[in-house]
This record gives sequence, structure tokens and C-alpha cells, in this order.
Amino acid sequence: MSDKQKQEFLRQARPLAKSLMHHAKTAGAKYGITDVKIAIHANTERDTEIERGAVAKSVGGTTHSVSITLYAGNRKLSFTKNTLGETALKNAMTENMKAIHLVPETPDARLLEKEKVYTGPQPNLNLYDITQPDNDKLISYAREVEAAALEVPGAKAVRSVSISKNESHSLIAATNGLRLENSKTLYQAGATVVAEDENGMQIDGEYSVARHFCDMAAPKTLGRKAALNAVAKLGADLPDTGEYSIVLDHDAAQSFFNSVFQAIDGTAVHRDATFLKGKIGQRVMSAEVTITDNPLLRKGVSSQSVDSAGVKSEEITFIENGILKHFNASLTESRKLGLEPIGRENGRTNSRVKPGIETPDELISDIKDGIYIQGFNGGKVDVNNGTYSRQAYGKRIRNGKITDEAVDGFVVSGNLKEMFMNISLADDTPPQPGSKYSLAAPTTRIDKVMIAGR
Amino acid sequence: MAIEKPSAKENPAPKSQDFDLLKKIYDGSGLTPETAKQLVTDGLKDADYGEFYYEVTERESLTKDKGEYTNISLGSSDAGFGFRVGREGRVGYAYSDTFNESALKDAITQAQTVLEDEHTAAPQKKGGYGRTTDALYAAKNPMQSMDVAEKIAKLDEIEAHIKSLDPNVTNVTLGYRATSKTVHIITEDGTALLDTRPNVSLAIQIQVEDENGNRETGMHLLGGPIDVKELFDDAAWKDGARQALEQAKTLLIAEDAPAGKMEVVLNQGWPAVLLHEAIGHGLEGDFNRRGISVYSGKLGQKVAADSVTVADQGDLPGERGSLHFDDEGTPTQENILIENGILKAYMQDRQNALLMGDKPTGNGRRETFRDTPMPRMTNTYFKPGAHDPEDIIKSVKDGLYIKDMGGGQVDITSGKFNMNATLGYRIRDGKLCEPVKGATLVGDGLTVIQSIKMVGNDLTLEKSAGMCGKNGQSVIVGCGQPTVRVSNMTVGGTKK
Repeated sequence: MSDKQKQEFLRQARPLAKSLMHHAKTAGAKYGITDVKIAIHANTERDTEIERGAVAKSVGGTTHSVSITLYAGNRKLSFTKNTLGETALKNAMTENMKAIHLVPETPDARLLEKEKVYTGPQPNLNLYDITQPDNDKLISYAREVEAAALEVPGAKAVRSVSISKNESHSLIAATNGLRLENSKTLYQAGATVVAEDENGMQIDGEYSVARHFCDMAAPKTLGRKAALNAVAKLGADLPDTGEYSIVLDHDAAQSFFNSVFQAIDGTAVHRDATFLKGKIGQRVMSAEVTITDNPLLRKGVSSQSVDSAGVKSEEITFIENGILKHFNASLTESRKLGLEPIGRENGRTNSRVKPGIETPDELISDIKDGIYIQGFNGGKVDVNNGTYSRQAYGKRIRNGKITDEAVDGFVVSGNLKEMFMNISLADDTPPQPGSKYSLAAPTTRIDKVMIAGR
Repeated sequence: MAIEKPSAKENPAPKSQDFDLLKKIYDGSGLTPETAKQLVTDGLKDADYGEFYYEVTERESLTKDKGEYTNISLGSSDAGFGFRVGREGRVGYAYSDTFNESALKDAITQAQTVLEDEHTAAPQKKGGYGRTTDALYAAKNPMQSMDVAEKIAKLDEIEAHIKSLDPNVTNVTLGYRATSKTVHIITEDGTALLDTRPNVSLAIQIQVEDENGNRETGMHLLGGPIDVKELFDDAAWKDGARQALEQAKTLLIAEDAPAGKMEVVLNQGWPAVLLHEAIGHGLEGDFNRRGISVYSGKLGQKVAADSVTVADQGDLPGERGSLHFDDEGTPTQENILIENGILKAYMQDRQNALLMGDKPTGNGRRETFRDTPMPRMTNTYFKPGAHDPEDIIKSVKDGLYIKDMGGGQVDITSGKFNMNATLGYRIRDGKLCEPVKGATLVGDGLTVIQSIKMVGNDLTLEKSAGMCGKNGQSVIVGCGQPTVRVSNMTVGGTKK
């Protein structure tokens, strides 16, 4: 592994990309091929599961993929194959060249204009861990996670403890001058723990994710947190049906604020399928909500300096003091909506809800009877009409304090149009990197929410 | 529905297409089926279970949205192999997208490292590989009977038809997808298996708007292990379009669902996704082997109402979840999981069957060659009961009828689930009344199957929807049920 694999990838990918581009130009001429975009990826993973201190499962392998998009004027046709075999790829290209005249025109889907492709210097975002730990180190990390989980009173068993190391390399090149070479590492560890008492079993977990191994959560902390999460759910009951103030912890807040991104998604806007369509410049959330998105975060899980369309990625404020500033649109969607591309071809990057002023304790202090939500399980979010209906679990809040009374199985029912306006924020947005969140949000309070329970 | 079991053929004669496929797989690998078999069986000598699994998936897709083809992808493929070696609870697995002699040897060596420490006991092999039959679906590429121009013309025709049905249609989204997955397995006893698994689908989404600017979307899915010609059968898509439009229009006038405990009647067919989530997952062997399912340790016990019989059956002809053999080379079969309320069996893969002293049940499945198999459902359904579905609705004084279900989630340890009902109707005095939307059904699986009051005689298996995710792996599944009445279910509604 390490730098050697990166060099080996580029040694194969660079001439392959060149040869495929050449094929598009020469063999493609008689089929009217005007442009081509080639994306070559290699991915190596090693995934280890631990059970009772021993390796229960070890999975490893390397795979590749080559995606080729051909353009003939306003026509576009693509395919992906997981081989670096030049002949197979060229044959598939030729097949698609022959078929492209059958494809209807989609002018908005053409490549980025040559003069707009970013070709300037790119900052080193430090997404590639050169000090990669060996397998034994990963195994001992997972062992420590499991041991720490099982030490927690009430923890009965672990469903799984795993750690994976992923190394990926990519080369993207297109006839508009786009050329990107990226190498990244990613570590993910997770523990799912079952807790049991006389009333039955509960399951929950915790995970950690980072580009560099040194940024992973301490294994003891991770294991302990996973077990505590499960134990905390023991004896959970349904709250009474009614209207409550709810307070979301960091996990639940990340999940909730994701619906902002669903509602400002370029596809949804273009399809007329979101209630935030046409609301740029308008107040759509409480005045204290500001949501930024920073692709240039060093070691960030979702960092990039140029998006895969070739647009430079910079920090954007999507919501500023409750006012909608941008839709989260790809290049094609931007053209359809008549907007400038924002460098988010692959969606949002490292997003962050700015902290509020009050401490979490202060935020909760005047709630006489409320619910502290620690997680959502599935449910339905419909940004077309704002319907928000999701099952959740957590603790009761009584007299301004979070109690030990666990609640589970109830449904948070509301409408995002109102929920967005009834938000107040604490001052504790988790750090990035340094936390598992790609959308970091502080403890969040939402008033007047309908809870369906008993 | 009458479920007919095809006659089992132990060793169907190899077809010429099989020779062609094998030739394609082995071409340029420096291996033959015989030399590969030797390497694999040697590599699995000390294993309790394991196999060589090769797969090539060809795929294509077309998406038309707002009058424009936003995606056309033709000629994509994904191919590779994995070698798995298992000893009791430990599994080593190595995969690669390059298939040749040295890659296979490397994979065998790498996978075996997990078994490094020595064994004294002889491996406990289970045997029993093979295929149920070769007649559950046509084992061939389903997308070749129409060319791309014909497919584009068909999608254009469907879109134009839908727009002509109603002037309030504001958007039509059509998504066509087809895959052809060829699987080649060599098991520890040298059994070599080959199958091609077709799957095609057409998703029809229709957005409508009322005079106040309110919008709703209706959706209908078509497809299954069928040929693309059958998918684009005029009567089928016209009916699908009609249903999607009707759903969207009904949602426009639907009221918010009430919240609270109530009598719920579940429609036949797709609402069985509740059975899949709330009961099916809890009966998968891996969770029970670890003792972390609500059904753990309850074999032979009464877990459901007398009228409840639940089966998972991978050998039903023409159903979504059907397979001639599972991804470990075990023939699929009918597994009665719950019979007249008594828990009878779990669904097993090879590892968990071994560890629980059980037999493999043909439920070892994986998403791709990058993944190891685990116990998964195939086609899961409630066996029909005696009641006429109309009588079931008539029996409810005040309740909720769930016509269309969305998706949902389950926590297999507590058994708690939540399911989104896309469209329902209030039942008052035994009659279907106003439509309602936004209902979420919540509860735990055990309570639901104990609270089933009536089971209809109208079993239908859902033909076209159903993808199941578990531990990050997604596989195609089928589910079905007759009309079912459940007492005292918690409904999370949005009505204030």
C-alpha cells in the first residue's frame, strides 16, 4: 500500500486515459463524436470483523472502474466497466459511438465550457494518509472497541465490531481540458451492541470515520459509547401523544438538517418537487440558522478543491440567518435553473450549522415537559409538501432537565415549513474534522412538534 | 393464488448457452473449469464451508424526466470473483476484478490467512449443493430483444400516453433499468453451477397539481425476472400508469392521517413489506445464532396468532426473489418459518446452519462478488386464510385501510419497526371512506403477528418492487400476503 499503489495506479491510468481519448477522437470522427469524458477509479479495501477478541471475518480486494461518457453535439451516452482492459473498453466505446445518433438531444448535459474549467493550482487537502497502519494495528483497534463495549454494565453481546481501511485513486480527464488526479484514504469503524434487562433487549451503536487513522475516535471511547447508547434504550416506553418541544442531539440534528439539503436539491427544484422552489433570498428558517459548506477543509471526509465537472469548489453559505442563498445544484441542474454552477457536482461537502449562543443546558432549561431525541429510524420526509414523519427514540425532558426515562417507538410528525421556523440552536457544533459528522449541527431545539405515541 | 412447484430436475442437461458462457468466463484466464475446480477444492480442504464465486453483471438504464433523457447508459458491466473459506465462525474472503490463475491463487492464499491457527477436528462439511430446477425464470440476458431506439420510442410513447390522460399532470419521470447477472459457483465438493439471473424494471412517477398549486406524486413499478419485451407490454404499462395517476390524484384530496391506536387492514400484495421488515428479518439465522433477535430461542413456541403461517420460498416460478440456487450453491426451497402460529424454522446460510446445527435453507445471498453471503430472504409471504377480503373490511367499525405501502425499517433486536403508508383510507362502519396520507405504522413484529385477527383468501405476491438492504448489501426480494386485519396498531399521523 501507500504511495507505491498511487504511483502504480497513475502509471496505468494516465496512458489508458490518453489512449481512450485518442480512440474517441479518431474512431469517433465518423460517428460525430465531439467530446469525451473518462473517469478511472481504483479501490482497495480491507474490512475486518472481530468477535470475542478474534478475527471473525476478513474481507479484502481491489476493484477498478472506468466510466466513459461520449458526446456528439448535444447527445450524450455513457457506460461503466470494471476493467482496465483497453481492448474491452475501446470495443464498448465503439458500440456506443454507433448508437449515439439514436439518443435524443440534451443540451444542458454537455461538458462544462472549456474556459470555465478550473486548471489553476489546487491546495493540498491532505486526504491521503501516508502513515497507513498495518493490519495488526487495525485488528487491535477493533479488539479494544469490543472489549470496551462489553465492559459496560448491561451490555449483553455485540452484533458486530468492524474496522475497514479503504484506499482509492482516481483520474478524470475530458476533452474540455478537465484533468483531476486524486488519492484518498478512508477509515471506518463501527460497533453495534445489544443490551438486555428484564424487559428485553435493545440495540444501538456508534461509528467513527476519518481520512487519517490518527483522526479516528479512540477505540475505548467508541466501544463504550456504542454500549452506552444501547443501554440507554433499555426500558424504553412510548410517550403520550401530544405536542412537545423536542431537542435533537448531534446525531439526530445531523439527520434533521439533512432534510434542508433534500429541500434545496437541484433535481427537486428542477422537478418542482420542493416547497423551497423559488425561495432564494427569502426567510425559510429561524433567523439564527446559518448553514455553510466548506469543501476545502483539510482532512475533511467530503473535501475537494475542484468538483468532477471541473468547477472550482469554494465555501458556500446555503442558509444565512434563515435566508435561503443557494440551491445545491449540479452543473446540468444549474443550467436548467439558469444559475451559475457552484462546484457541487457530487452534492454537498463538509456542511456545518453555525453554533447558537446558549449552552445546551440553557437551551433546554425552560422546557417543562419535552423529548430529547437521540436518533431517528427511517420514516418519511417529503420535501414536496414538507411532510416530516419519522420514528425516533431518546429521553424525556422534565422541568428543564434530560431525565433517564427512555422513550422509543414514537413518531415525530410535523411539517418542515413550520419546523424550520421553530428552531433554536445551542453553541456546541462538533468540530470538523475531529468528529464523525459530514454535516455537523449543534444541539437543536424545535418547538410545537406533534408526537404520536401512546 | 395457487402456488405450483415446478418438478425438480437434479441435473438438467447442460445447454449450449452454458458452454458459451463458461468459455467467456474462462477465456484468457489461463484456467479451465477443471483446473479451477482443482484449485478451489484443494483450497477448501480444511474448510467447513466456502466456495469460489464468479459473477458478471451487464446493465443498462434510461431515465426520462420532464421530457428529457437525463441518463442513458448502455453496455455497462461489472465482473469479478471471490474466494471464501470458512471454519466455524471465522471467514476469510478475498476478491478481485481480474480473473486468472495467479489472481485465484492469490485470493486462496489471502482468504486462508484467517484460518492460520491450527485445527485438530476434521472439517464439518454439509454437502447438499445443486439446483432446484432450471425453470423458475428464463436464464438469459433480458435486454437484447429490443434495441435502444425501440426502448426510447417506448418510453416516449408511455410519457405521451400519461400526459394525454390528464391535463393536471405536471411531470412524468420514467426510469428503466435492466440487469443480467451470470453467476458461476464452484463448491467445496467440486459441484460447478452456472445461472443467469435477469431483472428488468420500469418505474413510473407522475406528478399532478391541483388548482391551488398543491402537488403530489404517484408511483408504480413494473418488472421482475422477465424479458424487456414483456416489461413493455402495452396492457401492463397502461395499467401501471393508470394506477400511478390514480394514486397521485387521490393523494391530492387525501387528508392527513389520524394518530393513535386503531384497527388496521392491510391490502394484499406489497403491504407484506411489513411482514418482511417486522418478522422476516428477525427469522434470519445470523441474528438468532447470536441470540439477538426477538425470536431467538423460541423455536417450537407459539409466537403468532393461530391463523398465521409464514413461508419464505425461493423456488417459486417467475417471482422476484426466486433463484435456481443461492449464492453459496444451495438449492432454494420452501421454508415454513411459522406454522399456525408456531415458530418452526430460521432462514440459514452455510455458516449459521453449521453453527446452529441446522440445515442450509437456500437463503445464503450476497449483493456482488465483493461481498460475503449471509442469510437473506427470497420471497416471503403469509399463507392465505379463509376470509373474503370484503368481509374483512366489513368487520371493522372504525379503522384504517392501508392500500399502498412505502418502505420501512426494523430493529431486529427489539423487534420495533416503522413503515410508511403511502395511501390509506379510513374505514367507518365497515366501509372505505376518505383517503388519508402520511400515516406511519409503528410497533413491534411479535405484537403484530399476535394481533392478526383475520387473514384473507386473496394471497398475491408483489411482482415488481422489493429491494432489501442489510449490512450494506442490497438484494432483490419478493413478498406477498392476502388482505390482513391487525388489531390495535399504533399509527403515527400528521393530523392535528
